[in-house]
Amino acid sequence: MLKKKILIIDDEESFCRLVKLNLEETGKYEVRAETQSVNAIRAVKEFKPDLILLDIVMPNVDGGEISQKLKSDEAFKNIPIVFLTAIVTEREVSDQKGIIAGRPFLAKPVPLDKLIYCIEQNTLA
Amino acid sequence: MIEDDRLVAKLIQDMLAKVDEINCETEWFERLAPALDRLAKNDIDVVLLDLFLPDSAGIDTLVKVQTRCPVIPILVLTGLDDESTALKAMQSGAQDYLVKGREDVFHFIRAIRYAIERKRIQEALKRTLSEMEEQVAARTSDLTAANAQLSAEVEERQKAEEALKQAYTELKETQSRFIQAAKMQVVGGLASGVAHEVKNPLAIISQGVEFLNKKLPLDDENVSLTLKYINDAVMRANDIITGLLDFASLSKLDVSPHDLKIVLENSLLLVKHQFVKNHIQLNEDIGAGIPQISIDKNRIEQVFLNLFMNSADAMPSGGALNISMRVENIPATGEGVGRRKGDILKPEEKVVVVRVEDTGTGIPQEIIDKVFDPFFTTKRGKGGTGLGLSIVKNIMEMHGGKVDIANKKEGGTRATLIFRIQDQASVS
Repeated sequence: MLKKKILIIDDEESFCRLVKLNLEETGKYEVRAETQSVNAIRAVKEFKPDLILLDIVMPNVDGGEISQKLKSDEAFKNIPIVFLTAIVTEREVSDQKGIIAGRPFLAKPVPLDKLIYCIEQNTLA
Repeated sequence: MIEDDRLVAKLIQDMLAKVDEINCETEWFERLAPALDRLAKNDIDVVLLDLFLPDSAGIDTLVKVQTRCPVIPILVLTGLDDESTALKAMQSGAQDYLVKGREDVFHFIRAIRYAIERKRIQEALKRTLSEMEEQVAARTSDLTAANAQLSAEVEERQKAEEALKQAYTELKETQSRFIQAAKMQVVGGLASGVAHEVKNPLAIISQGVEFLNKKLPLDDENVSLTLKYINDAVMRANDIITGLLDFASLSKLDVSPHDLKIVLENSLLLVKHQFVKNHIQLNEDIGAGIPQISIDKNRIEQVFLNLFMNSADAMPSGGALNISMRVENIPATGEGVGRRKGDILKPEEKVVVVRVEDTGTGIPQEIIDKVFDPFFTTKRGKGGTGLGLSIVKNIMEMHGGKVDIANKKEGGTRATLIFRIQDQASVS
């Protein structure tokens, strides 16, 4: 079975490593973690992910800017992005039915099964 | 000279003519009437008057002459045995009396002079007196006017003072509300920063627990229990942070007109399933004519949910939840009801009242005053953050409404929510 490629961009290294461990444990995903937001675009270019888990609050370049850059690039604008961030609460996300400003959001801390569900919802089978 | 005895008259005339010191012209009348006519010209300096004349007798004669010429001095001529009349005449205003046959010329002249002088002084005195009286009257009326003005001013000042006191009280209230709002703003700013910084480590812990759950030997009961404890703790911490954010983010409301009935129904939908499971019967009594009101829909749903959850917690073995919604009039008295702008509700104001009643265990009397205090909870260790009702109170107050919680006499608790229809809280 072809594994889905997930790129996680988050400045918390321990979070990235644990998410990678947990997702890869399922056997369904190949995960690359990028902690330097300045390298985000390069990582996308190199890894060509099926979905990007994007943190928002990061030093230097924040998730919003990265998302903008990707959307304005022909090569990458169709890659689904899920914001995975601590700046929203679970209620805010569910109030908006998981979509804020047109983008899917997940509020940290997020249970693994919810994360997986969201990944499956936003990628092709 | 008015004298009907010719001899006396002649004597007096001769006497007066002889005197060099004064230059006098004498006019003699035998009867009163023609004399009165002459006196009308008012150029006579002194009158020598016999009281007993052919056409008038006694004091009356004097009175008539005085009436005709009030400012001319009168000397009364009397007979030898008539001193009592003379005295009476003096009392009535004659300047002096002269006894016929007894007076010598000097005495006469002196009497006339004195009479004129005295009369002049008397008149001057009268004038001065009347002037003084006029002045006093004027001053009095000035004083009266000034006094009235002063009283009016005092009244004005008192009214102004009242208004000032009221304005001061309102200012203090506004100030304290302002300070509260500013505090909330600061807390809001802090809270989102803190929340973000805490949620990230929580996310790491929870992902770590998920991983360990898969990797550690779960046949060891202590291992799985430990992981469960860690996970529960993470969830609890997350709830507190979320509660804090909720509490802090109340500086802004997202307000628009809504049908409160529908908001209530939505909130009920979220808990109906759990209610059925816990054998809680749901009774709704929605009145007619509930108008649309401007509310932050999400926050009000939060309010309803909070009350429903509290009621459900109070009925662990089942019961009934009665919800009513009606338009009512505020009674004339009551806490928070008043006519001033700062008061939350005005008497006779129309409001929408929502009552959420349960048949649960009720709230112990000793803590019922604390239920709205932040972080006060009877469910610590069972997932209670103690922020729910304080958030409910904040939300209602930001909407310009009220919330009240009380025990029912027949058992259970009633939460009363009052929503204003007009003049609601402004969107900050």
